[in-house]
Amino acid sequence: MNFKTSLAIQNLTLYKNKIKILDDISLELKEGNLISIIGPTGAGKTSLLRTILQFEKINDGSIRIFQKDMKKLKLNELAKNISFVHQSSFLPVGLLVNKYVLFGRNPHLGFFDTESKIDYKIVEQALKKVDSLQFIDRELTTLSGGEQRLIIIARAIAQQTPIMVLDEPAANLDFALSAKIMNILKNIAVKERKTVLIATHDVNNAIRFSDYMCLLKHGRIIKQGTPSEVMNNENIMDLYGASAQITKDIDGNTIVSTKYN
Amino acid sequence: MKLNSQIKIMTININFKSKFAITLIMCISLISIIFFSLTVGIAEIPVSIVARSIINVMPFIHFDLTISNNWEQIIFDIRLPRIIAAGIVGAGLSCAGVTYQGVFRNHLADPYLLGIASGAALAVTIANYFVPPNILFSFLWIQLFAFFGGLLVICSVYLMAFIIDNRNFSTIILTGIALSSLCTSLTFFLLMMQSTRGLSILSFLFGSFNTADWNVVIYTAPIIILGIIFLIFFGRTLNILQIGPEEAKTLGIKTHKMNMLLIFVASIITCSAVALAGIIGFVGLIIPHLCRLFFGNDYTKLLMFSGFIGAMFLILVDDSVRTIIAPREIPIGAMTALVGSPLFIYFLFIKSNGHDL
Repeated sequence: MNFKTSLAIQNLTLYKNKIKILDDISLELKEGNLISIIGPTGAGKTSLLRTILQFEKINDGSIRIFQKDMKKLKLNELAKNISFVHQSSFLPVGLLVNKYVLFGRNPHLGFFDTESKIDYKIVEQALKKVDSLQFIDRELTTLSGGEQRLIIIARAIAQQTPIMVLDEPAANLDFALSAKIMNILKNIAVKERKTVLIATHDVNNAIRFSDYMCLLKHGRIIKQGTPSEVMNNENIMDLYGASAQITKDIDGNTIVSTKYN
Repeated sequence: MKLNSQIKIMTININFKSKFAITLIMCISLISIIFFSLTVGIAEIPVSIVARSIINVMPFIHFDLTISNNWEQIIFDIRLPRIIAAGIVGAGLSCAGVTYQGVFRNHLADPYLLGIASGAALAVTIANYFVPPNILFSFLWIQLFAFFGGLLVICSVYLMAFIIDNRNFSTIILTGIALSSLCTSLTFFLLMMQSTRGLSILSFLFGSFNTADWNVVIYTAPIIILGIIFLIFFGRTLNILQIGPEEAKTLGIKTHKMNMLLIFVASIITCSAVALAGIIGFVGLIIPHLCRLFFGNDYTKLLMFSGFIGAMFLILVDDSVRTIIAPREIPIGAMTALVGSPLFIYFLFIKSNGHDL
């Protein structure tokens, strides 16, 4: 696989209130890959994503997007390169789904521009990709939690960025829908050669859909590699402090379950 | 799928047309309200006389219509500037209200919430001590004082909130309320002490347009109208700001800078309005909400239509203020609340489903 590196993080260190949150993180993300960051709560998953989105000031190290230093990018340039889906997005009352997804077009519009037919077309395509075209004229807040999550992902898709960052995109959803969301993201990564970076607690879906996994604990990467490389009893014990049982189902998918005596 | 997209494009066109139609209706009703308002007042001027005198001043049309000088003077030198003043203040306060609600992401915000108006009012009261009423540009001076007072208050609110709590929303509101009451009480003191000159307490603290003439309108109208146009261009930004500062940032919006800029422009509009007419409460809160009930929460639409509706509302209220107990006047701030509150509650009852406040 000769995919280009889209995002390169080098020796990243972050302090918040003099507490070390991220410690010497180096990570290379490639085009066409779905990368998951897993780790126990408080490991620094969200902080890592927030740092990539420049919500936090980096204390040490660098982040490069397509060889360009992130700090030198203007905010609008950044928005054309990275889209973001928050853990829990605030959704205004009375906003229509197509208007919300249209927000994703904002980085591509000049100050005096209005949204054109092409933008509306892109919105439709984005909604189609998440299988939610039927909601296009509905009010966002009248949809269920899972449906809303799909719409928020559609907004990020409409932004048409080479890199997508999602913080727990499938959390608090039923197991069918979380698998569906992961599958949508995997498809986007593979078919459109995008880099999709997610933080998740759902180890089984992460193993099944990711191309690359990154095990984060106490702000340090303890292991990174393909799912088959990193998923063994020893690493899971290291990461979560719980012993696990790794099996395969009839389709050959790896299943991790906790083991208690 | 092809059919679906065709339907989509059709609805967009209809939306565009209906937006245009609404704007047209608003323009026509605004003009007719202005025309109607020219006829009412202490002196009853017949509609035909008003129509004739308007035709008289139109360029390129020459009918030999003789109208008594007296009436022409009342129409063009007394009523028209006052009506225009009421209109732009109504539009300005409504649009400023919409903007504050958008920036603070809270539908209870209004132009007076952060003490801008109280600061401007205090500054105008102080200015009345120092600026002789009949010098050249005296109103310009008063307006400058109003800007200064209003912006001083908003800057100190922002600065204090920054020091206390790093711009937490409720801290901004709380410091704003504290400074607002401080300024209001100081204004009371000053007005009570100056018994001989200038403003009457009522006409200032409850608003009045009886000082509005062409001199005043010429300074205020451009500022408020340009401010509103400026804000309308930021409608899309305001819409996106609603989903939260961080996510707006990932969509390429400089959240903090935008908030500052929008608050600044809305404050300039509010200060101009206060310098012209004193403190007129309620308009900046009720008109945006009426528009939300009818046109939804899209900020471009909200800014445009609440501008129109605010103007019409305040012109009509000013008409009633001028006529009900003529030759005396009711303070307009009292009247806006008197007319506005029941009307507002009525609209809430008939159309409250699906909109939060």
